[in-house]
Amino acid sequence: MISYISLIFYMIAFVHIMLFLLWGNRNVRNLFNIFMGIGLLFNIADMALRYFNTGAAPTSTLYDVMNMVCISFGITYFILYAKYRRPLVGLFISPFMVAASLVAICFPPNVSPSYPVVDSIWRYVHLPFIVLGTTFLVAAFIASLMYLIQEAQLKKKNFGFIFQRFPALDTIANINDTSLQIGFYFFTIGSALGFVWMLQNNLEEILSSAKIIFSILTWFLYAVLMILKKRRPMTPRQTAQWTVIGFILILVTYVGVANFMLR
Amino acid sequence: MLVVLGLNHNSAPVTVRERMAIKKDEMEGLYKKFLAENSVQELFLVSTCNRVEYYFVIKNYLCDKCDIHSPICDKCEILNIVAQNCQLAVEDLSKYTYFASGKEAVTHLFAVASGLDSLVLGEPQIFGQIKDAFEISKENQGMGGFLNRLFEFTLKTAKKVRTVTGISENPVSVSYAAVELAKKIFSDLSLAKAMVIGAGEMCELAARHLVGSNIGSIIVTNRTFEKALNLAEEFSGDAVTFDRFAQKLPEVDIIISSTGSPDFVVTAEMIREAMKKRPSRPMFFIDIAVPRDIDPKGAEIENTYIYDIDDLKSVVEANKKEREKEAKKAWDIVHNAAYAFDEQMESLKITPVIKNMRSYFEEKRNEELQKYCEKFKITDEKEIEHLNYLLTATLNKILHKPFMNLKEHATDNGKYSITEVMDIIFKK
Repeated sequence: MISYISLIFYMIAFVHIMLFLLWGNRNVRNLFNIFMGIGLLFNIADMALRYFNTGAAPTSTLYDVMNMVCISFGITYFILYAKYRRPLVGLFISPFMVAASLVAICFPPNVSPSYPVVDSIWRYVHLPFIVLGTTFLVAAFIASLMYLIQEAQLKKKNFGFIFQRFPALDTIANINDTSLQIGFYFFTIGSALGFVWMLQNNLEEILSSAKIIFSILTWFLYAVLMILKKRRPMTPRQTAQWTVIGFILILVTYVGVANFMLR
Repeated sequence: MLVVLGLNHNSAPVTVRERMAIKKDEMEGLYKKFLAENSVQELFLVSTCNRVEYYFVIKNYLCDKCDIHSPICDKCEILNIVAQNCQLAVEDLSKYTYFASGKEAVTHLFAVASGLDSLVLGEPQIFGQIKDAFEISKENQGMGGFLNRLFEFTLKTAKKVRTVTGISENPVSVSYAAVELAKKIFSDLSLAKAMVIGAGEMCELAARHLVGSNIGSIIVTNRTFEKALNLAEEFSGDAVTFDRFAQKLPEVDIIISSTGSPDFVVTAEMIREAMKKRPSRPMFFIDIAVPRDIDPKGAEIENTYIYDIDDLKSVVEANKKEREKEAKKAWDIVHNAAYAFDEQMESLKITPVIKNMRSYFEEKRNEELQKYCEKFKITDEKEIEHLNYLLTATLNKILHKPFMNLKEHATDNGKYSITEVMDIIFKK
């Protein structure tokens, strides 16, 4: 029931950010933040209630994982908003939250039986970091797309309403950099904790999991990007292009690994 | 009644506007002079570079033919006083000025304060100037009940126009449009450094807008170094000699150029060299010179954005059209506000009428009570009090509904015949 309420709030929030894009009204923008915040609070309340009532951890079922993904997107958005005060990132983040909420609703929230391999504390600690790292990577991908769109409009001297609403070019570039940096930190911590969990269990079994391959790939991409940026200063466009390419590469590889390699 | 006598950039040439302009130190004397006139009840004066307006609140207004009420009506008297004050013939003054009264004058003031009557449609400065004009009037005892209410309405209307419509959102001058575009690349101009190449009027204007937008710092360069130095001093910036400006390019984020040079002043090669030293930081070039100063091939280099005068003009034209569209919405707000103000003022007129009527009826009640007591020799105070209570209660009952009807229809001027008015007032 609570998940339906949060889904409704995310949907209302999405409508408001669309209206902000079209009209540019500040009140609509504030309403978007309020609805996102309320949706997020319901999501957190749902997760807490499930834990206290049934003992279900955020990783117990797909329902719980999707709830965590939603919360993670919400946290990502509000961290970026607190730093840059640009709500338009939410235009692209809120559909992800709506989608995750829908997936959660489609799968009934039953507590699955606990397996010894997943019943480790390390798993509970490592997964939120990995999810946050992933949502920040999505945010970086969104910022990169926004950068490429805005840059193209500036070069082509096309000043439509999207140009008017999008933040300044340097702000978008900074959002991208910040998302990559924070995401990399979260992912590194998450991966390190995951490695400890892996050492305690059957290494071979875990390595054949698509999720693990996805995590290693994502961390690898983050690392490559960070090293490249450190070694020689990249232009914001190059950073944006690499982020988009990397993100698509991960998605394609993950789909490939999940569908073919692990059959 | 409010009347306005004024002239602006549309009605009078600059020579007349100069003559009519009221200096700050003349204000006090003028207020004293006008307020001493019998016909003037309240007054406020507006004097900006593009307009001079006299707003009077007068009691009687019976023009166009002055022979009905008095040898000279208030409008003509005002014209005479103003003409005398500006040392102009009344005929000349009439030729260059506009005159409006009542609701039309109120609408005019709301439109002026909202920037709808400005040379640059929707410019925001006029709002502050009108606010200051009201303050000066207050200091000089020019404000009474009418102008105080008008002041509140004016501020409310102008604010509403600015918040509800986008009339002042899009820049409509080339230099301002350039600075606004720069904000789409650098979100915080206080962290950016600008270079102005040239020291002409356009460069000065652009520098002024940059400083107004809180630019971090400014470098000025010009072939005549002295001029660069003067301009740099004016905006607390630095000046560099013309042969050294290319070396400074990697340090700056925004470059505005307007020189009379027949060749490119900033070549693509210079831009390429500068960008090598700052690949991650964008450069924004604004070329407002004809022939152009900046090689357009420079725009092919990554992270550089070059806008010439035609690009900026097309932005300005598009913005002007946008403002005109928004002005239609703004006029609706202004008309509605003028209507609401008129309604409020009309409804206020009924208050003294009701007060007079009530005191007349109370007087009659007291007279009749006294007569009755004398006739029937009633001296007992308790009895008199009871009779008074009865009469007052009856009077209140009788007058309540008519007074309510009167208030409700107070603004329906000239709508009904006498019979209809009586019917409405005594309607149950």
